[in-house]
Amino acid sequence: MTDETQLPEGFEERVAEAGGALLPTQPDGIPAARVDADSLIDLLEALKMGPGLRFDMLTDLFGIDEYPASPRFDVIYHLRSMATGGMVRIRSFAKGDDHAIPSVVALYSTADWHEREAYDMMGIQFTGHPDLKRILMPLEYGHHPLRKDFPLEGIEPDRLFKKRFPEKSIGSMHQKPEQKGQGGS
Amino acid sequence: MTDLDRVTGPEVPETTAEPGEFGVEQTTLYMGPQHPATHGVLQVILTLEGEKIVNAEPVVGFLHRGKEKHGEKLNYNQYITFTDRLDYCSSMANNIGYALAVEDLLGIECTERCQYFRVIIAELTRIASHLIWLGTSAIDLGAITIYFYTFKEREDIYDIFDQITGLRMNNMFVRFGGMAGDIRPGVADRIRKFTDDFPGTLDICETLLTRNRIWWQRTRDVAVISKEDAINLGLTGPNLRGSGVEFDLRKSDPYLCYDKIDFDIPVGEGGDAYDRYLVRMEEMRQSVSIIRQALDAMPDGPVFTDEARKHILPPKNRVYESMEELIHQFKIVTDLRLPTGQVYRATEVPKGELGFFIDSRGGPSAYRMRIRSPSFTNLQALPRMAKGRLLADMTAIIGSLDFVMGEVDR
Repeated sequence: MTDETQLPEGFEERVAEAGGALLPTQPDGIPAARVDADSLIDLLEALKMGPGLRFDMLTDLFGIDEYPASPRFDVIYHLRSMATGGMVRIRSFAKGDDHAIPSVVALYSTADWHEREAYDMMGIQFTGHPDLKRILMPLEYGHHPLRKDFPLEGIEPDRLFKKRFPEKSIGSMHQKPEQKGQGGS
Repeated sequence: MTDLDRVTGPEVPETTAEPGEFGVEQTTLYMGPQHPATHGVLQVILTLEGEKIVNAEPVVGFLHRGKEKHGEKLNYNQYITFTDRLDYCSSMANNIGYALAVEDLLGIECTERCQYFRVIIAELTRIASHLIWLGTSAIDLGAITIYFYTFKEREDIYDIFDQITGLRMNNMFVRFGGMAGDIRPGVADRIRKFTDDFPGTLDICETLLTRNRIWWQRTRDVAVISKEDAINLGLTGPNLRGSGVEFDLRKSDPYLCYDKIDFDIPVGEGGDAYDRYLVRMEEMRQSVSIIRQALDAMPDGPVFTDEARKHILPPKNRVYESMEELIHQFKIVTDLRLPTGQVYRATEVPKGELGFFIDSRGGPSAYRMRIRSPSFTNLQALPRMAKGRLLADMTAIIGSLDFVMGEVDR
């Protein structure tokens, strides 16, 4: 399965301790493993604190929407060791109807904004995050735009605008069909 | 590791004190999103006690354009233009990062000439980006003269880009498996002339700043971030190296032909704004040396690879002559399908580690396009740096972090 990939020392054992399984190697050759959300913190802690190779930087954290499958959100953690520059990829599914997964902010403070972004874009609930609120979209926005069932053109795009300027319309930004001379009554 | 010319001079007086010391009422100040020193549309909500910053909360997202969502709808070729507009100060470096990710997925490597070409472009971009940082961060702290020197040189680089690509900014010159065109001999001489002239300007800037007393007082021991904090916060690029971590993707995971080029990674020691300044200045000198070596070592040959013809654009001259090649080009431009798989490719762009994660499931566009942008992660360090400092230090802190909001908000 992972013949051609050089696994970092002790990586396989630590994944096994956390009850996870190694994943097939992808074209980029980064060793990957999947764990259950409950033992995620244990695995990341073991990978960060050592002994042996230490993955001390969380390079990235994001979700993949597997809609309409269930469990729906696959959360990916890219860890990097500053000593060797080597990377590992940990994947874990968010659990339950509210798509919950434990927050790793206590382990890696960089996860703060990444988790807020994943919550904002996909609606993944990171339990234990100190201040889980939207980061890129407006605070009062009601949707999660990176979900697969969210249309590219947006949902009610002029809602925020209407609330602030009830008498005006976006007009110039969105040409109405009848003005283009097609469709319309 | 290069020994930086860190100046040892008279001690700068301690300016920080514990919040609440003066017993002043707390006020909230909204800095930005239209503040000139925030370099774009960043808003910082400052909680102040008199002049002292108790808390600084960055508010981002004003420039959010849904780039990751677009990556799931547009086809791979169309998406190159979107990477240009991530960090618009270093567009071609972003192109290269994205093209490398797609090439990883295809399992191909571009030709040797193309690799050197890309290295030259990437390093020119690095210098241009650092020059913008130097000019603007110096003008924020009152050193106006620097701005004119740096923007003259940056203009020179953009003229070179103009000659190579036909555009000054947002060049969109990189293609999968190669470049849109070859580097012309006249341009090579022009770049060589630039590498000869540029260090002189850099010397002038260093004369004006490095031992300047006002510059010291505004940057030394300001915005200190320790080695452990820098790693924990996920800082990359000069911000990480300024804190004393010797980490550079060009060395640790050499892509293109960086392993054949001899260069040093400057590393700071104190982790303050002054160290980050020194690191970036030295990086520009190293970039000049890289460009010179790459120009000398650049072999002749094609810039477009001949592998994986099914996925790679045909040479333009053959498109004009042959019907089959024209159809082939049309097919690739409109409906390029990549092999399935997931790939993460990180490159060292001027701001730090720019990573593209592409989850391809065989469709004409990516199932998931994730951009790991360096500025987004670097900006997280702002509250930690600002706490306990004076309001006037905010411009120094924001300047020393060197972020671009186009990349933060994506």
